[in-house]
Amino acid sequence: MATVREMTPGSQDLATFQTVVQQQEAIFGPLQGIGGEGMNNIMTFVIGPSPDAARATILVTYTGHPPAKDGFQLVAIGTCLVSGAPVQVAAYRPTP
Amino acid sequence: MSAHGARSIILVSGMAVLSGCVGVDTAVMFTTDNLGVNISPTPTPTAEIGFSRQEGVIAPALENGAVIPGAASVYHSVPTFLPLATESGAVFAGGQAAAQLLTEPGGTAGDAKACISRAPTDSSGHPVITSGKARPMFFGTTTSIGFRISIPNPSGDVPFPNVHLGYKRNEAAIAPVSGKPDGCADDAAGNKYAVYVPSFLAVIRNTAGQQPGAGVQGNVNGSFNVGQVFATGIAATEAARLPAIGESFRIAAGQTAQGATGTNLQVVTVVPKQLNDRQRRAAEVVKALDQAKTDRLAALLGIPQGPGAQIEILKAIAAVTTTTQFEPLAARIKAVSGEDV
Repeated sequence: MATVREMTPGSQDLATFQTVVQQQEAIFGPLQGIGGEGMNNIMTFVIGPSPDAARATILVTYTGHPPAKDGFQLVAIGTCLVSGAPVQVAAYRPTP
Repeated sequence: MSAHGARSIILVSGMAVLSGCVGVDTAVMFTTDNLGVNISPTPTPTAEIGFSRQEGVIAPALENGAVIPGAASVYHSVPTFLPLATESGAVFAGGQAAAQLLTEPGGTAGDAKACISRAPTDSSGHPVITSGKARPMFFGTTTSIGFRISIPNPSGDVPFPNVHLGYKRNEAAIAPVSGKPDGCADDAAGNKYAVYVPSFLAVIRNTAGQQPGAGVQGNVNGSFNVGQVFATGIAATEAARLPAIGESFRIAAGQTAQGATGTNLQVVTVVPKQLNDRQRRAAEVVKALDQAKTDRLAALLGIPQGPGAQIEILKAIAAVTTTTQFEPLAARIKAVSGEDV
């Protein structure tokens, strides 16, 4: 399964970071992983059919364990930079 | 200077003499690049192991230090001392194509010209740059990747074989310089006379023993991929606008993630929704292409063909940040797939 990694600045707020993830999913395919590296965030995508807009990934910050969300499945978690600060971020996708 | 450099200068200078006056009405630009083992008995005995490169320009220096644009870059990513397991790229450009390479992705370069107050003259007052006169231009490259041994001619000039293992490339351009009396009407300094050189561009990018674009960490298969672009005139200028070619130039300049970190990560950010909708459509079309069409599209985009071509094309789509930048990409996708994107 081919994957590709892309990088986006860690200075972005969570909404912008989420938009970047969704826009890149539209090009490459579903998000597989997220994490911080240096001053940036790294996103890993699986090359394949892109999710519909209605099933695009959303990002949520959390502490402790990522919460379960009704109607969503957890896709990935990682320590990312949001507005320049390291936080725990969970990526969810709406279930069909 | 090594024999390589000396030989190249002799080569290009010899040809330049035939076509004009070097450094006055003709610009000469050349590079030679070797990575690996190079043993060459002529014209001067040379033995090189490792990386060597010569670059040179002979061009008219106009008033106030103005010169015409040219640009060259090269990069090699070598995981071990194994000449075929490298990722390499070289960009060689002049005129408008060179100016375009130095423009931010998605931007359009201004006219690549030098503005001076009047037509340059020699010491006798005669104009040295003419307009409206056709003159020859030479532009060429040679590339060798792998193992090459020339057959010696014991009774001739080459009694011993030339041996080369690795990557070796020569690039040279001999370009006539032209002038236009009113070509700088909008120059802020009031200089009206414009001096130009033709637009030319040559790009090579190869990966071997690894997935294209994966950098030194991506040794996943035994493939060998190489892509080359060679163009002059408006074709060169348009090719210089392609994201993949700009990326090759910026990698060598250390302006991309690969140059900075060795991990070949592309920096992406938010783009307008309308553009992202077109990127999505383009990606869908690319993902549906068979390997032959993917390779055709890769060739049009200056991307190495092979198993990793699809990912590199998708990355080129992702790198687009403006509609203007997207259009040439869309045109090439349509040319291969027949699909509007």
